[in-house]
Amino acid sequence: MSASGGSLPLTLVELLHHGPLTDVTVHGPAGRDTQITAVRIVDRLDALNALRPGDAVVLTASAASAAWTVEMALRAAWEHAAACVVVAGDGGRTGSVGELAERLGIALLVVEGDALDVAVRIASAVARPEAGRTALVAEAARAVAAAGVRPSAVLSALHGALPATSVALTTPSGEVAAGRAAALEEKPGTLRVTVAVPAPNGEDLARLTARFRPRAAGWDDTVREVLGLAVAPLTAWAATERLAAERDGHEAAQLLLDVLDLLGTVGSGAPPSGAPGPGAPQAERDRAGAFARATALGWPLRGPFVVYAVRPDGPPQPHTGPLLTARWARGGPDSGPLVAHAGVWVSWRGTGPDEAHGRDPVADAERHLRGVLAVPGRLPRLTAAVAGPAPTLEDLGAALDDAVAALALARTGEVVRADRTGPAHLLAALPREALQGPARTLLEPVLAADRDGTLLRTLAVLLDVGGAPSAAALRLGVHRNTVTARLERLRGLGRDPDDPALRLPMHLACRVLLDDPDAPPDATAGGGTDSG
Amino acid sequence: MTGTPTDGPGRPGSLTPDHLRRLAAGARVLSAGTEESAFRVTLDWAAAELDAHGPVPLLPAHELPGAGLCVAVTLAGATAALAEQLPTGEEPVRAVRAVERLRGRAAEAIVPLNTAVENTLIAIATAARCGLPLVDGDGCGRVLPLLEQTLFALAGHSPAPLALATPGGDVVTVESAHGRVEDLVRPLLLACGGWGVVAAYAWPGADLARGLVAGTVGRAVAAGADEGEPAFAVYRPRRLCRGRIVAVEQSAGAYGHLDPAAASGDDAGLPSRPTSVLVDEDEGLRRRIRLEAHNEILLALADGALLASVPDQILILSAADRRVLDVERAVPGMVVEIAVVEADVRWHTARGRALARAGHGAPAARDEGRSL
Repeated sequence: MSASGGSLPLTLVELLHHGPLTDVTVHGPAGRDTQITAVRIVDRLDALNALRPGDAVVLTASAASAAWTVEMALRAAWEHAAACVVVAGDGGRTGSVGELAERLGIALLVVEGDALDVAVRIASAVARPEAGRTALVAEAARAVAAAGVRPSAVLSALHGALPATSVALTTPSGEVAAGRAAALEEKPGTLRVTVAVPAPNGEDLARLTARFRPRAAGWDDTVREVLGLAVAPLTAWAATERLAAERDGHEAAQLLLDVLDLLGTVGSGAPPSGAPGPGAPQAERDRAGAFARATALGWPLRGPFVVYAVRPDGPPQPHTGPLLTARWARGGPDSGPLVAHAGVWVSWRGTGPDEAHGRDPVADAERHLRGVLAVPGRLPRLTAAVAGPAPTLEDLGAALDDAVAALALARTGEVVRADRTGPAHLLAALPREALQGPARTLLEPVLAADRDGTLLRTLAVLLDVGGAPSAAALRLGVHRNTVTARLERLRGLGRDPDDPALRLPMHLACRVLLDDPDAPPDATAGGGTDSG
Repeated sequence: MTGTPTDGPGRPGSLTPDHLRRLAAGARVLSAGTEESAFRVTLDWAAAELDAHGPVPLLPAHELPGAGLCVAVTLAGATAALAEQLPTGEEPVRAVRAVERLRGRAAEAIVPLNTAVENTLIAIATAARCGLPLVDGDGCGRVLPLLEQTLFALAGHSPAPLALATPGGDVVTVESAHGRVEDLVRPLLLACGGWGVVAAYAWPGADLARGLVAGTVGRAVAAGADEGEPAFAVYRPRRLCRGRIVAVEQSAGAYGHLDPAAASGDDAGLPSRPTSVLVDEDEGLRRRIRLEAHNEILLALADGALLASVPDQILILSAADRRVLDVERAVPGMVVEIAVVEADVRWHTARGRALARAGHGAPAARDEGRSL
């Protein structure tokens, strides 16, 4: 009774975990990487002299009737490098014998049932070792199918199917979305098998990584095959999550809030290192769930990040969200997710290693953003801001705040950088409507005397350049003497630009009255709107 | 052969009461399980016969009367019964005379069947009473329980014709047993009070010499010359290991059917229950030693490997005083030495092993131990 040629021999582990034996009690080292090549039935002691390496030594009831005969069989198995000793129908004598099995490092299997029946069943498994592996894969397929698409359930099914194996679902950037972080730890004597999980659109969604101690040649193939069973459910899970997110943008918005909220409330800003157990605090479980959903949506979770904030012009329209999402998606994966946040749309993406060395990631992001916004379409005019880089996920919230604030300062159609908003943007951010009245009151004498607006414009430029007539003449494109004359008129009207008490209020009033919110920045008088 | 005695210069020419005392002590060294009352009875018996009839000449094996009839004598039955039904003193003579009648000639020497102390003492009493010399040797070289378990039988000599003389005055003779001696004699013993003296193996000296283990009587006398370890050393035991008893288990027994070389067994002849004694070696490889005992220790395993087995005599010695410890008295926690006294080389042939294992089929030893 021996193995058929060609295929890899059955291992003891396979026999025990997925073989034809039931109710097995194992003494000695069961986790051994031991191959079983044949079954030897021993009914008398002299048969022990004929053992061969790889034999599963099955003792008949009479041969196993005394502890000492079992001990002699263990010894003979050890001397001949046999795989294991099998005793059917324990008579309760294996206590002291089990210690010898441990000592010699030979597995002693105590099996219910008749010895010859057990021998035939082992021989059948030895003859067709692939049947055991097929049984394992079949069992795994059943478990994965029963688990549905939730990653935690799928990973749990994988752990059940693969004994003594750690499996983790990780994002492309390496964070654990579900499973055991131990799968990622390099340990001596372990092997790793990785299977890619594609997103519904074929992009890289996640990876399944299994780590185990090699049991037998070909075991890694079996592990790979079992991991492969989980790919389709996980892709389906991502599709489901994305569909839900697209159908209802509020869900993504809520998820972003959840992620930011959890980062704020649950200590460490790093993504969870592994799925929390049932005893973990609720916050930990919330956190793990939020990160798993974020993974399904393909959200970047590893910094450094650059952050976008986008605002369509005009009042919100029902179709604005879908149109913007479509426009955003056309920008490619570099655009990142588009999520409603703080009254505007925000997005973020991880900056690659190229950008980390030497290049300005925010400048690249700004260029990318201008490209996306320049695409013609039915969308209203878009105003956008770029912020960053945010080194870690923990800093994402602050960077989003920066981008949203910079967007508030940006003029319509403009793309601004949160790190470079200048004085003109501060001034532009003033509540013009509210200041119109006071401004007109302050500059009433000038406005009354000024028919064509030149006097007001000259006052503004003089205040912009610090009261120097030569610089103002250059800026206004007139002769210096003309500026000096207008300055005299202004002084005559009681509105001297050099008066310290009046300088700041008059400067503000000029801005409020002169700046046209819809005018391009370079059309405003005085220049200096954008230092970039 | 390590354990086989030979005729030596220290052997006495004849056995005096002083030799008897030393022999009695020396023969008991290896047999921890000797029934004390039976021992006292046979010792008194032999001493009385020596007092009455004078010293018994001790005949070296090579001086066996070649053509003269030699008769082996042994106690049969339960030794405990000996103290309950005391001997009349006539039993040995009547048994020898019955065999002489069957053979048609007078015996010229008496030989002990084996080295059991009662058997040697009975043989001395017989020789004194009959006025015959005692052969310095026996038919076994050790103790085995059955009448056929002798090197005489191994050499081709039947125990029959034999005679059984009982304390009740009966004499039963068996002329041709065809290998059923034990089956025939055992019921007779039950019928006659539990014990008797058997005279058997009545063959010419030259024939018996082929089955004789020479020098065992002189060896027992030498062993009794001193107390403690020197006496034990006479038997040249090999030390197997030293350790602490960790468990004493009831064993499943059932040895007979495993070894094809084992003769068909008769467990009824081995009354005590099979027992396993587990010893953890406290030196060297620190092996787990398993001793399987049934009446005597049948085999010793070290981590499942055979250290020794019958027909060699495996002994548990108390480490404290190096006295032989009866298996029945082995308890967990005791520190012991395991030693083996090798049997005569003829027992190690295939037929010899098979005969010695009658009643229990233990496997043959293949491991070497260390000499004490």
